[in-house]
Amino acid sequence: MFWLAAPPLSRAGEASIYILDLAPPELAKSGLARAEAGLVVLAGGRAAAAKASDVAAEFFWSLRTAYLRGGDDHDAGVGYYQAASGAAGTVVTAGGYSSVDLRARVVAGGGVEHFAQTVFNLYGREGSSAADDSLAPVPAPAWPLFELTSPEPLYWPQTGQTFFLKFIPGDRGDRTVGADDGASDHDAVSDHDGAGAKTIVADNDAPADNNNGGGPGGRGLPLTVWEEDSPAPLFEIWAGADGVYAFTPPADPGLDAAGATSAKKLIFVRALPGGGTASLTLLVHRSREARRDLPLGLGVFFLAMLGGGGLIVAGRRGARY
Amino acid sequence: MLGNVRLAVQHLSFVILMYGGRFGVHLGSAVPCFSCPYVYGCGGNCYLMGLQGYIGFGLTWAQLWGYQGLRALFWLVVFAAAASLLGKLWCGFVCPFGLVSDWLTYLRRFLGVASLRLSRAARARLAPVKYFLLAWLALGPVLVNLGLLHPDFYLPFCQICPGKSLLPLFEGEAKYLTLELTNSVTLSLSVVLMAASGLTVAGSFFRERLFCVFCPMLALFNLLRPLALARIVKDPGLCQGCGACSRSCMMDMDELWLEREHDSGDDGECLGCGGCVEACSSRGCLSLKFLGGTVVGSSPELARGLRTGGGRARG
Repeated sequence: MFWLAAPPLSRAGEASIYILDLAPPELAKSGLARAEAGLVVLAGGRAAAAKASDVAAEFFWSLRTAYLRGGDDHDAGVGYYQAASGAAGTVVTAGGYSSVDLRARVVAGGGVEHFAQTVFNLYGREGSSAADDSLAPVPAPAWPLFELTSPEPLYWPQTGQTFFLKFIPGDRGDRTVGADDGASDHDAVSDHDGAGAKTIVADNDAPADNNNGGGPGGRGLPLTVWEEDSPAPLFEIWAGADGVYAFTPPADPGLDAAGATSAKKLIFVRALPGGGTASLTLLVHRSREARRDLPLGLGVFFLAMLGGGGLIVAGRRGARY
Repeated sequence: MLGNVRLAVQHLSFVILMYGGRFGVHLGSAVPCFSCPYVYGCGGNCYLMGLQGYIGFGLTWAQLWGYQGLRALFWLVVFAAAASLLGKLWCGFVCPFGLVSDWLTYLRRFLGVASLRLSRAARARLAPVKYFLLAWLALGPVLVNLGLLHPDFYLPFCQICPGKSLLPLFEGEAKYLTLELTNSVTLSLSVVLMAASGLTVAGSFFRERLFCVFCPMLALFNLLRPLALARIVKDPGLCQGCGACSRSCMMDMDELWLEREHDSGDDGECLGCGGCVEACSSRGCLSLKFLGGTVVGSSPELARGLRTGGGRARG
């Protein structure tokens, strides 16, 4: 498995260079060096570039490329920018933040390809003057891709938020993916009966009810869901009839106890024909809204208001009109 | 007349600062009044949040001399310039939260409920609270950075500021009137916020601008007062000692009335509303000055306009 970790963005808006952990866990655990890439924010939060560090030969990677996509779907300026490998890149500031889709590929020994992707909020620095024109947009690579959407557009991915993941195999054919995936250059073969994908309920602290029992309700291959440093996958998710995986990260007491900017990495892994994998790493924060209690809040508010007002009325001195 | 001008400016400011972002107006992150960033589509961000944020980001020595330090310095300079330009007129004429408080006062007057007056001794006891809150909002983020406070104490003043819970109501958002049950820290802070909000509403109903007594922004204004270009000035030689200025003061100040030596009129809790200038019938005794030039001066005519209903009446 190869996975790509976004940096914890606990210092939003502060730094413009982020370190990306590109190390496959099994290699990292074996004591080999971790590979890193510096992320350079371009102007307007719409673009970014990555600078890959040299890859140690013992990784047996013959190729590694990282692409970034900035902006959102409504932004006409959206585009891919190829990593300026070996170059420092230009640090240009950006106002606000942008949801960034970062992808990478490694070719391990034996020519097996692994793909990794992550989506995270990328913060830039304010006051930039212009974009870096030295990084020309390049066509998006025809790599396997997870399209991540949510009916609840939130500040950042949170527990309790429902996500839909659509797997697009690109030019790495996957005959188990439906034609409605849209980007496959292979015919689709439906394996399942078209029942809807199961959403993992998140409104409690119990371990997630993590799959729909072997997936015959959906079709395609399952996604195995890992948490960073977990020795085994937490559970599997199967796609629904539309080939879309639905997932709601459950509440996490650990995240709730930590600060609002704390996050955990959830890694969704899908097997590819030929032994490779495609993964998506999602940085999930605690829910900002799930634990808000309006009736209780209003209760305390009105209690304080009536109590304070009552005390004033009862104890006022020197009243005048 | 001055009271009416103030009322018009207050409402215009309220629209700009509360809804300006919806029509493309944003005055940046150093607005010297409670222009709350928790209001979606607000027209500028209260500097108190920016101040906590810059401290909360934890400037390292290297960052201090780099972009981060420059940015913090930039907004500090912008804030200081804006605060100096209008002085405490920001509080009296611009602050949206102040206007909300004034609305409660108008309601109280409409209902014929008597006002509560704070004695000088009570004000003296309460005055340090604003400096304590200012210290808290500056120190809290440092303690968070040092790991001595839980990370949920981030933006420690905003977490307990009634503006955060009350101002978003004017754009239809009630989610900050909640208790946040995520953990004990968020619960404690939200209980304090709700209690502070309820007490602020009740207190502001019975006593004009009660929250301003505790406002750390006013503490900042007091610290920056030597730089203020807009000031209320008294000519002690012209004072007839009638006490109209004190009776008209929304903050119950009598220092101005009793001042016999110095020309300063906007010390301490003064909010720069100009009520005293309007109430004073001694020509030229009190004046609102900008860069030394008189913008409005007290006069019998101005005071008569106030008495005949042309301006703000205290009660």
